[in-house]
Amino acid sequence: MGRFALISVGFHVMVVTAMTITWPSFQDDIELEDPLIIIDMVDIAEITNVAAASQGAPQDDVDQDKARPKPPPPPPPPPPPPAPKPEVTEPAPTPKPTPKIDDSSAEILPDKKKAEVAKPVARPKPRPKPPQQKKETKPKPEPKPEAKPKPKAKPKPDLSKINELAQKSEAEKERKDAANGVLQNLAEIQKTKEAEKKQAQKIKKQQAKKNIATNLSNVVSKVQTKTDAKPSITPIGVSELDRLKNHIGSYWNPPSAAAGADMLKVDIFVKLEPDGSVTEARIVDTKRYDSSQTYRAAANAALRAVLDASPLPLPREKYELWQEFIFGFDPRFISR
Amino acid sequence: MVKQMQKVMTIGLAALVMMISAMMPSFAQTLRLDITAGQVAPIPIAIAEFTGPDGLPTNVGSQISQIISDDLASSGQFKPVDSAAFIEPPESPDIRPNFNDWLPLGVQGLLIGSAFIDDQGLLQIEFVLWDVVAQRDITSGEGSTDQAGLRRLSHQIADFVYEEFTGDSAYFDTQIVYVSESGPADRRIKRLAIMDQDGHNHRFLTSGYDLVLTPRFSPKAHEIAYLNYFNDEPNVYLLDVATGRTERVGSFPGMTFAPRFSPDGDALIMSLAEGGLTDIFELDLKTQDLTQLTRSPSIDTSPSFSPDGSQIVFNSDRGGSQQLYVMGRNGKNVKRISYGDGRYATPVWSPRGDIIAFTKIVKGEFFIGVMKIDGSGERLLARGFLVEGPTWAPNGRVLMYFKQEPSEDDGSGGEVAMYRVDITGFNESRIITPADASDPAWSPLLR
Repeated sequence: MGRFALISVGFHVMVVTAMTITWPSFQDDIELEDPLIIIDMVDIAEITNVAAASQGAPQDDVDQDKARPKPPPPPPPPPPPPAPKPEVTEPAPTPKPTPKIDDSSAEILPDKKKAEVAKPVARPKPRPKPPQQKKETKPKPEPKPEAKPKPKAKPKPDLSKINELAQKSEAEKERKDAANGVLQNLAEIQKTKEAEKKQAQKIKKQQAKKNIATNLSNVVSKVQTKTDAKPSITPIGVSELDRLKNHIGSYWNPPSAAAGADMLKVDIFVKLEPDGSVTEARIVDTKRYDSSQTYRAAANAALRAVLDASPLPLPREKYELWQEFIFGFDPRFISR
Repeated sequence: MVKQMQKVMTIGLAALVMMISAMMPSFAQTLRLDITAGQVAPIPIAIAEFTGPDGLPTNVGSQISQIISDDLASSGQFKPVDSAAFIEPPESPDIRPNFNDWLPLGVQGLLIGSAFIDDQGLLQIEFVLWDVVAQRDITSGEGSTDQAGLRRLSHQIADFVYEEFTGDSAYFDTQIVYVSESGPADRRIKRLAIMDQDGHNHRFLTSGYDLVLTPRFSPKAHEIAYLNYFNDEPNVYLLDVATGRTERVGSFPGMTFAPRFSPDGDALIMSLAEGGLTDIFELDLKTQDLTQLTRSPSIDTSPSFSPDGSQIVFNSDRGGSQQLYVMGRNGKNVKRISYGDGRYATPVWSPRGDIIAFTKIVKGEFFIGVMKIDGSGERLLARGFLVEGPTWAPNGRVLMYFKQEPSEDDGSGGEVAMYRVDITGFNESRIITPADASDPAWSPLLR
C-alpha cells in the first residue's frame, strides 16, 4: 500500500515538475499561422518603430548590401567541403549504337559517376543524386553584377533624424570594424594561405559583414534594454515576414515549362545564423526528389533561391525565434 | 522505506528525463513561411568550350559547345552567357570550378566538358553540369562516337541540361521529316526529306518521281506514313527510315489520305474517300483490319489521336462549316469543340494531352493556334498569308508549321518555309532548308 502511495506520489511529483518545466515552451511556441500574426499586429508597430528608430539607416544599408555586394556569411565553422559528388548512373559503354542504360551502380559510389552519352544513338540517362544536405554557407563572391533582381526597397517609416544619428555612429563603427575585420582576416589568411586576390576579397567581405553585424547588434542592444522587462520576445511581425518573402521571391526563378509545374510545391528547410546567413539548406522531400525529375528541377530552383538570397533580412533581436525555417515554395503564380 | 523512496525517486527521475526529452522538440521551433511569388525568366547558363587533354578548347569541343548553346537558346528557356565574359575558362571537367569566377556572371548553371579525337579516330566526350548557386554538380556523363555522331551527341547533352533545369522532357535529339519542294508551280517536285531538329544532317528520302504529302512519324521514329500519288492515285504509304523501303498500306477502293499513327504505333487512322463520302477509319497494321469510325455524308478528315489513344480529334463540315470534333476511339460520343469565327482544320493533339493545335482560317487569313481539349482557351500563335500543318515537339512545348508567302503574277514569291514557335507564342524562328519546305512532322525523341 505504502509503496503504491509512494509510487503514486512520485509520479504526481514528476508530472507536476514536468509540466512546470515545460510549461513555458507552450507559451513560447509561436506558430506563424495567420491568427497569431494578426493578433500580433499592434505589438509589431511598437517594435518595428523601436527597432527602426535606433536602426534606420543601418537597416537600409543592410538592404543595399544585400542587393549588390553580398555581405558574406560568416565563414562556416568547417570550411565547406566540396559538395559530395552526385550519383549518376554509369551506363556501360556500348560499342554499338543501341541505347543502353545501366542504372545498377547508381547507388553505390558516393564518388562522381558517369552517365554515358554514348554512341550517337545511345542515350545516357544520368540519375541525379539525392539532394545532399547543403552545408555551405555560400561564400558569395563580392560584386554581384545585377544578374538578380534586387529586392524591392521597402518603404520605411520617416526616420530622417534618427538616420542621421545612426549614420554618424555608423561611420565611427565602420572605422573600428574595418580594423577588426582586417585583423581577423589576417589570422585567417595565415591559416588558409589563400591566394592574394582572394584575401583581398575576403577582407572586403568581412568588413561588409562586420558593418552589418555591428549595426544590427546596435539595434539589438537597444531593443533589449527596452524589452528586458518583458521576458518573452515578441513574435516576428507581418511586415518582417513580408519583407523576407519578397526578398526570397526576388531570387526565385521556378521552372515553368513542365506540365503541372505550377502545382509543384517545394519545402526547403533552412538553418540560419544571427546575421541571417544561411548555414544549411536542404530539400525536405528527398523521396520525391529522387523519383521525379520535374520535382527535382523545381526543388533545385527553390534551393538556389534560398542560397542566393542569403543572408536573409530578419530581425536579429528575435534570432531565438527564427533560427530554423521551412520555406514553402508555391509556384501557382506562374499559371496566373 | 528510504530504499523505497530512493527507488521511487529513481523511477520518477527517469520518467521525468524521458518526458522532458520528449518535450524538447517544442523548444526548437521551426518557422514556416510560404513563398508565393517569384520571377519566371530564361535560366542564365554558361556553356564552356569543351577542352582537350591539354586544357585548351578543341575544334570539336567548340562545335559541341556551340550546338548545345544554340539548342538551349532556341528553346527560350535558357539564356546562354557569351563565353567572352568568362573570367577563367575551365580546363577540364575533372576540376571543380572556382565558383567565385562564375557567380558574378549571374549564371545558375555551368557546363564543362572535354572533347577530343582519340587514336582510333573516335570522338571522346566527358561533361559535368554544375549548379553554380548550390555549388554542386547536378549531373555528369561521358560517351564516345564516330565523328559523324558529333551533332547527335551534342543534342543529347543539351537534352540533359534542359531536363535538369526545366524538369520537362527535352526534344533536341529529334528529327523533322517534311516535304521538300522545288520547281515551278505547275511542275512542282515534292520529295520527302529528313533532318535534325535544328536543320542539320539533311537528306532526301524519296526520289521526287511521285508526288508526296503529309508525312507522319510513327511513335517509334523508324517509320513514316505519308500520302503518295502513284499513277495519280493518292494512297497512304509507309516508309522505313533506315532502309528506305516503301509499301502501300492496305488496298482499298477509293483513295486514302491524312494518315496518323496511334500512340502505340500499331495502328493508323486516316481518311478514306469513296463514292463522294469521306470518313475516318482505323487500320490495324498487324492484322490489316479496317474499322470505320465515322459515318456521315460530310467530309471527316485530319484525325489525330490523344496521347493515351482513347480519343480522336478530327475536322468535319457536318455542321455547315469546317470545325473540330472529338470522339472516342470507337467513333462514339462525337462532340464539337471549336466555335470561333472561321474554319478550323488539321487538329493535332499535344503529346501532353492537355491542348490541341490547329490551323484556323478567318476571312482568308491563316492562323496557327491552340485550344484546350474542350475547345476553351483558344490562343493564336502565328498568322500569315498561308500558315498550316502544325506538328508538336515531343514535349508539347514547341510547334513547327509551314508558311507560304503570296505569289506574284509574274511567278515570283510563293516561297514556302517551316517555322517553329513555342506555345507561349514566343521565339518564332525560321527553319533553314536547302529548298522550299512544307508539311513538317516532328519525330519522337530518338534516344
